[in-house]
Amino acid sequence: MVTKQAEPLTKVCETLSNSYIEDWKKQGKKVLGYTCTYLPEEILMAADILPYRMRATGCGGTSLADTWLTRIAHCSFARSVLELALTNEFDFLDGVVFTNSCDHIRRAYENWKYQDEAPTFMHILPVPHVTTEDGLQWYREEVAALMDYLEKEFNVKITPEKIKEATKICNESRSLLKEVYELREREAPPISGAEVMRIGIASVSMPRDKFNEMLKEMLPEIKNRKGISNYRARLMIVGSVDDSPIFLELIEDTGGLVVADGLCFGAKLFGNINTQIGDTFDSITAHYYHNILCPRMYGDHKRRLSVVKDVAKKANVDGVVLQAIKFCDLHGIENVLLEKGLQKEGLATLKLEREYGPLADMGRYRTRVQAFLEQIGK
Amino acid sequence: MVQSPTAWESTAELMGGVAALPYDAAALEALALALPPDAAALLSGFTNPKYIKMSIAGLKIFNTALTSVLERRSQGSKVAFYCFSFPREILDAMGLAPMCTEAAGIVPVLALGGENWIDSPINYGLPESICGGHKASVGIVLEGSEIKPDVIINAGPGSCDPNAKLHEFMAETWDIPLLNLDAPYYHDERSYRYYRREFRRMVERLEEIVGQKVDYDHLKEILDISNQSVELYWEIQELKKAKPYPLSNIYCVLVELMKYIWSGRPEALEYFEIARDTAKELIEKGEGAFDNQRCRSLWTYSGIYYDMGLFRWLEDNGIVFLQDCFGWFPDKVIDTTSVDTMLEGLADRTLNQPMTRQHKGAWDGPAGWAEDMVFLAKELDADCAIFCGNLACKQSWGALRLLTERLQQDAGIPTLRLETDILDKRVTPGDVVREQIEEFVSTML
Repeated sequence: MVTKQAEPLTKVCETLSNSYIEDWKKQGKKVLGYTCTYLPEEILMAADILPYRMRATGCGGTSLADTWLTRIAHCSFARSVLELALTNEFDFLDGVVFTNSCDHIRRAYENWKYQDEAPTFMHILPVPHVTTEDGLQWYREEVAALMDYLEKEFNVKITPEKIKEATKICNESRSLLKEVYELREREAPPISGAEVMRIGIASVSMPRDKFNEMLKEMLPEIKNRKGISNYRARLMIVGSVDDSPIFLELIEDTGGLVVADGLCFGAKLFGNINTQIGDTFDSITAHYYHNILCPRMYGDHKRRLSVVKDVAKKANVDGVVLQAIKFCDLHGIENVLLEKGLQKEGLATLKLEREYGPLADMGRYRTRVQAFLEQIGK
Repeated sequence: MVQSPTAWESTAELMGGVAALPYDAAALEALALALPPDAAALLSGFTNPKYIKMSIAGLKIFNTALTSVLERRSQGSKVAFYCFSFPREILDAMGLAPMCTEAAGIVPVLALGGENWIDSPINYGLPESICGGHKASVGIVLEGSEIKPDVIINAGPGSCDPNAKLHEFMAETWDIPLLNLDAPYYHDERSYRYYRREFRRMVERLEEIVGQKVDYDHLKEILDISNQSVELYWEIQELKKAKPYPLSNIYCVLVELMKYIWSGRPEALEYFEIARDTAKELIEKGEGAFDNQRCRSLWTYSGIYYDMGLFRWLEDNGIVFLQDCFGWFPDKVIDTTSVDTMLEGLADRTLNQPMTRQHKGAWDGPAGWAEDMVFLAKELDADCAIFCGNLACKQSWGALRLLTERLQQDAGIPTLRLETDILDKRVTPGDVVREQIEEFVSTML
């Protein structure tokens, strides 16, 4: 359900770039792409750089990327991002910051960097794979190094005051998104999972203050909508990166309303737990390091499971869809653990292996979800 | 309910027959004929007549290592699974029963068959795309063929997602403690300092969990042997430069065995001594380990473990298996004068173990995959490179084209790309691999 008022915000996700980015660039300002929630956006914003969460929207095939990252072993998201990079679709970016989130995306970075036409500013932010005090210190050092690099490269100065200001804007985003998420907990939510994803994607694809303004305008209308009550089941969706509202629409068309998630373009955007973080470098880095809850962090599975259970309970879900992109071992293996853990709590689960891309395998997904809804008696 | 005898017990018993063998290629071949097909295939790689002594010494270690774990377990020692890139010496010195996670499944599958062990984790719900070696290690416990370990040491974080995630999976599923060692992205002094702290923390935590302390006097003894093995390893690396090539192809695979499952033990030292002495003897005579050598191949990742006979087939076809990445140990001798120097030395060595060293960071960074492979290609005068193509190794597949171009550019050698699973022969049968290698070598030469 997308109303006339919501259209501009909910259309942002349909293209890679958008008019807000164009307006930003017309002012002579820079845009940096990034691939992972572990990048503290506040740092880029404090440098007056627009952080842009990279997607592969519109990627129709990966024939070029497949000659670098093979389709017999690599995730279709990483290949799609690389495809768009190699075909210059990311030319609107003034640089990129990747993270060593997983083997696929870090190799996508390296294959892109190898190209003659690679952006001048390309950086990888190495994040530890464990949550320790030492790891946090390492992470802080890496973020500080990134700040130095940004200052030199873009001739800017990142001050504590600018970080404070950026945090204020991001915290407002988090509060607003949390408000949207709380609406989904209603028995008749006024907003679909697909529309929430559109809003989430918009939040990381345009200047945040503008996003905040637009979402604040939208919220009263959303809250006053007649809720969605003709659903068969309330679902939560977790797993690999998913920036496809079409995928959620497919699920919701079967009658499974997505009322909660643990996705990168979803709940992870507001850190799953905290909505307000401190406005200092230390607070920001501690938040990002500890609260993203990604399966790339080893030894933290129990906490992730606990959060999924809590969220599922709060949103009164009937079932959890555990999706993973083919070859995504982090989520693929994590989903097996989540499945067992959630089933112990009496929650129904559906494990779904998928490909990244809007039209891949839709018939199969529809069938699986329909069968799942019947299986759980909905 | 775990079956009796367990998978390791059955394997040890089978390999025990090998332990009784004389140093006689004909006897080995005769034994192979009498064994079940998988065990026969395993033995067939070890039948180079000039290297029978080394081969049998190596094969005996399968039995010795497994028997040691079984004995210690039966005496109440805790079994510790550790990722292959972790040094077992420290676990030995704690009185644990250390079992390399990968070997835990690979060795029984090689000896006994056991495709059900590879398949059962997939039936349990795990993705197909994980490593065959890990499937087997998980599978033998899921199938009730082995007892689960007591603690798991995960040295994969940073260098291999499926490896690290599977270790976490095992710990969570079997409800046993997990110790993670996080490899830093870079290879500089700051990274070494970070990893040394990680390593020390891991040891302290392990001591708390198992209720046993490291016996540092014993560790010193173990490391003294390990250090001697390191020195021999380097001596043999020099001998590898000789033409004709003086080592049996099975040397490289057995080196991995020595390091991953029996490092710091006298039998491993003996293995290196035999290999060194045999190679030197052949060099003095102007002989190669096998005749009609026509191609020196560098294997840029692992070998292919499901088909040990391949190593002998390569010899029969004049193809030298110079080196693989998994058998590349640029180790330094560890200073054993104090606890601190030993822990620091072990940490540093672990950071330089195969896979961790090459893949924790950039493919072309210091100590990265490119640097090591170009170095080895030039050092050992390789004619070509072969990438085994284990489909689970996403981090190496992801830099394969980059490395292929770099090797061509800097070392002037082409690369053959295979697609296999290191343990599951059903993915690409050995015959197909042989055809592809032959075609590549013939075309290139």
